[in-house]
Amino acid sequence: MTHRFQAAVVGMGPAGMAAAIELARAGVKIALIDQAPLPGGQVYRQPPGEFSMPPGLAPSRHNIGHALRRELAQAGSSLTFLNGAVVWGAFSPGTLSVHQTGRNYEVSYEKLVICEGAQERIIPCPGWTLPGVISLGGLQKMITTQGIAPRGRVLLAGSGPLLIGTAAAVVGAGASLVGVYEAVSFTSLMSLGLGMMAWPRLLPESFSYMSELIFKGVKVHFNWGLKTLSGDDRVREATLVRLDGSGAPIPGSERIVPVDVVGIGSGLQPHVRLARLIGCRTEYDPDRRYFAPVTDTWGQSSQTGVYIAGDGGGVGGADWSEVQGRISGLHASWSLNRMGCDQLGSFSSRWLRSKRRLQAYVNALHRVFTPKDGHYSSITPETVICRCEAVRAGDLMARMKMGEQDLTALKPSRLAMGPCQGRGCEGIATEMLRLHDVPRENLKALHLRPPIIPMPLSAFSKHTERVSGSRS
Amino acid sequence: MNETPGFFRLDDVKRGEALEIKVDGKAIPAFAGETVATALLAAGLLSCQSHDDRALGVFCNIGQCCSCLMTIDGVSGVRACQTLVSPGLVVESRRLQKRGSRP
Repeated sequence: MTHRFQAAVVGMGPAGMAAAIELARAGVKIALIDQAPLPGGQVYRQPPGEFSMPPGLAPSRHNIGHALRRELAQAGSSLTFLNGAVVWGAFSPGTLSVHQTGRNYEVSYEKLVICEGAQERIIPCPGWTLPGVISLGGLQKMITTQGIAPRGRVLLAGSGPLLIGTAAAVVGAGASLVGVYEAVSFTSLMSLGLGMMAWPRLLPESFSYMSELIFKGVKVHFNWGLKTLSGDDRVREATLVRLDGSGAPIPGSERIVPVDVVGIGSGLQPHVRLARLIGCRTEYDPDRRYFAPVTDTWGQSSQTGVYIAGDGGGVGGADWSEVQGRISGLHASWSLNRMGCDQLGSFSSRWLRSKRRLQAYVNALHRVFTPKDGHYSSITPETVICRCEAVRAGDLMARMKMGEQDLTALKPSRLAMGPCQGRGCEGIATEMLRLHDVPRENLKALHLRPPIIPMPLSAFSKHTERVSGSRS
Repeated sequence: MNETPGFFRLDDVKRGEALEIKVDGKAIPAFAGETVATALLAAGLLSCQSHDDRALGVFCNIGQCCSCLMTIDGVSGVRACQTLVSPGLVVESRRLQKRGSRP
């Protein structure tokens, strides 16, 4: 069965909500699709409807998320919410395969805005796959949307705004921290302040996080990183090490800390799955150390009629994503003849101005937090690179020494062959290839196949019924 | 510290109805609105699946990393962090063996 729409927006984070608002206001018949039950994406993720959280637990900018949701609710009747719906395939141009609470159907579109958001960048170290080691964002969302907090000795390590944000959430929930270890230096972090002047809306948030930490007496250790994690059926001990200016560990500076729960993460990278499945071109960005889709000012990808907006097109945060979503939504409305060139110009000028101002801050963010070569020193031969298939760095290193020069050539190790299809390991293996000095043009993202999200066989029940029927 | 380290439910949060789910044959408490991952962590169960001797638990908590795949109500390979609890839900850890790599 096919449901026809003029436009489809995939992802209900700030970019997807903003794109849907602009399209619906222009009267375009659109579908807004997300696997989550409620709009917000990860950054404005809401607690479930059954919950009511104390005000202290709410992140400082959740009012912006509320405002966007209100705007979305009032945007117009041409909008259809497909929530709790997973887009898992795209088998012919202009259609998406969707699975929603036991039903399978197709959504057809003339214009598509993909807002897949970001995923956390992880720099592995031995022991990082032990139970009890959780991504920073995952830990933060456990506290703020599910109301559970880590107990015992909690340690956070990595880099970027999420490190401080998660630390504030942990102490805000009354849990105790044995340490926060940031890989970059204090001075480079302070240089971010200048970039923030271009977008002062972020200052109160940063200030509230920092003051929460200072108030609760949490010390952030700069120029420190994880060397190893160890344990048995769960993480028990962390070895930390001081880092030099290039991010490399300083021998002899190790510090061993007993731990119960560890949060790790070194920033964000675009989560590019549907866009790649559809064939949108991606490129490796050597300065930001990730693959990002190639897009123009309006967010148009290499595929006609397909836009990519928000962190999924290049990481910049919630405000950046909202602005990109507005711009792509307006352009898609124009290309569906729902507004003239004049209107597109006047409606979009405000958002294009915001984008130029935000760009300075986003550039500063990447300059400060993008990992340096030395930060990857924590990857030893026994370090697991692919969680799903337990592929270790040593196996990949041996293959590189034998002359393998790209991700596809590393796949016989079973790299990226597990259920997550390389979400975790692709970026890490790419950095290993880069540090092995393979030519830059060899750094290409893997080819993806449907389903892009693990699906139970029962999701294809029609097909299985036919198969079993033919046997009897 | 007497309590098992892991996760605890914050006091001042109002939750949905109290219920029970079954994890590897054992009943554990949960509340409507929670994910299976939340109920596991709050019960001190950090591991969701094992590959040979290597245990894996909740990691990304947003449905991307597939570290929390479990068998839920008989369906194998379901993400615990994306599945909401319901009364009597049957959850089992997965035990997998590593497939061979090629040279």
